[in-house]
Amino acid sequence: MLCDECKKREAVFHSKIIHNGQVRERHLCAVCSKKYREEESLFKPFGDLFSSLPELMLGASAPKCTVCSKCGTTSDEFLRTGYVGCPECYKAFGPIMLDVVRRTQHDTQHIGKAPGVKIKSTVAAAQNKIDELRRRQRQAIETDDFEEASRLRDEINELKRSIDKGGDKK
Amino acid sequence: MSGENSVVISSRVRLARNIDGLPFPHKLRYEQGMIIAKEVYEALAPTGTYNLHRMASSNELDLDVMKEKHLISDDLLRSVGGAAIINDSETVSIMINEEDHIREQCILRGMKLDEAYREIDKADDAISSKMKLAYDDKLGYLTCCPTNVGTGMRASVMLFLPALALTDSIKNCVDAVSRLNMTVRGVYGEGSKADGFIYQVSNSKTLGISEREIISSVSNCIGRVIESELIARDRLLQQSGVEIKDRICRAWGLLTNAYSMSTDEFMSQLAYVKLGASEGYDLIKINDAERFEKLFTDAQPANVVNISGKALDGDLKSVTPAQRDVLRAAYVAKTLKSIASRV
Repeated sequence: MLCDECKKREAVFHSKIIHNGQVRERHLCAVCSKKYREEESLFKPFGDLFSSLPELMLGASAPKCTVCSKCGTTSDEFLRTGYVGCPECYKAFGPIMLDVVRRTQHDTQHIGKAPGVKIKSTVAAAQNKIDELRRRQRQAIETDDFEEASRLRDEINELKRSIDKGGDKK
Repeated sequence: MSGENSVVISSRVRLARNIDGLPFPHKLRYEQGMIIAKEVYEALAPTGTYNLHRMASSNELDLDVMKEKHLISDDLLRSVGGAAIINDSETVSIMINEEDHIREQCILRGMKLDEAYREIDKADDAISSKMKLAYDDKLGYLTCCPTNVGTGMRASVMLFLPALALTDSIKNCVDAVSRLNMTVRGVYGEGSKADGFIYQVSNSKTLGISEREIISSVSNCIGRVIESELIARDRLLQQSGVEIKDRICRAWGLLTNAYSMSTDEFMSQLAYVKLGASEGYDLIKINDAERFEKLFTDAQPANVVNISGKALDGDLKSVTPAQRDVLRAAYVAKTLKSIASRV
């Protein structure tokens, strides 16, 4: 039997995991099983997130297997390994991918650096900053830190005013 | 050594990047991988002195030395068409065809996440000015594993936490840190006695959080861990002063006198000696903190063999493990006596 992970070497470690009444078998070669053990962090392994992903997904709604037309990776393969095949897979696996991203990152919108000329206009930079401040403001409200929340609100308003001035070409 | 300096070892910022339109490394053809390495190297060359090391054509000893210095990973050694582009001062290392096409990282001694980010951001600008990177307005930088999308950034700090580990408080600390969306892991032995009490704290979240925010959240979290460790060191001294002081002095005795020493024993003993140099303990005086820290790496298997110059043609196996332990004991004793002393 070949290794689930690399699909090249003979599997020598076999395990059965029962999760929510579903039995999942795992067969790994010596190299991949070692890699897995090494990847596991001390107490709360980050790697655990992915070993439980298929279960998470099955728990939600059994997704239909789709194939990336660019690299041939299937969504099942992604859910099994946690890896996609190419940048296009992100589009190809649309809703499945979004769900995984939401569950692992608790967010679906990037803020921060972009490639090339980082941020073209100062207005865009300020808008980015506002998004960031709004998020922190929401967090402050959630943790009942109202002083910080109102400070952030003032900062946001100040920034908005500066955008209106700078970007006003009506 | 006192305060933050006696806890923080090093800071690392890593950015994950991929080339648009190409399969990720585990699906990549060998030649495509080779081309990426060449292009990244050419993009970086005008910005500093970098050396390109291809995994396939480097000798085993050199690769193990790099791995022990945390410049390359196990995964890179196994990758097809893997390469590392490393600067002269060994602060910047760009891994090619590891999990992602490009893994840019900067490691600096001490609590220097800001500086590390600035440094790696420069390298990232140089690369992205020459190559089209996989990027999506919504999901940010696209990576092989969705746990890295967005900024693709992992900011981590390596910490020396002997008192938290010895007083069994590390579990509480890990739980608290996890609640702040951070990950803690052992750097060497993964919770074994030989881990040298060295842990790494890093951000888990990479999407929906800006680079600056990641750095400030990791820094805040580290601040709290440092505080807990220093409190635990005081408590350890109060509760089992004689026992711990004896342990430290015995460790000094072993390190400066042993004829043969394994890596595990070395890691564990040097950790105690380091604790002995911290504030309140004052049993060991370290005259050269930088060399002392470097000793943790220098005495690792490949590095100690490399320093000794005994490996023939870069073949690690030309020195047996038993010979290596003798080399280590001699090297450690000599170095330690020249940079530190028993007070």
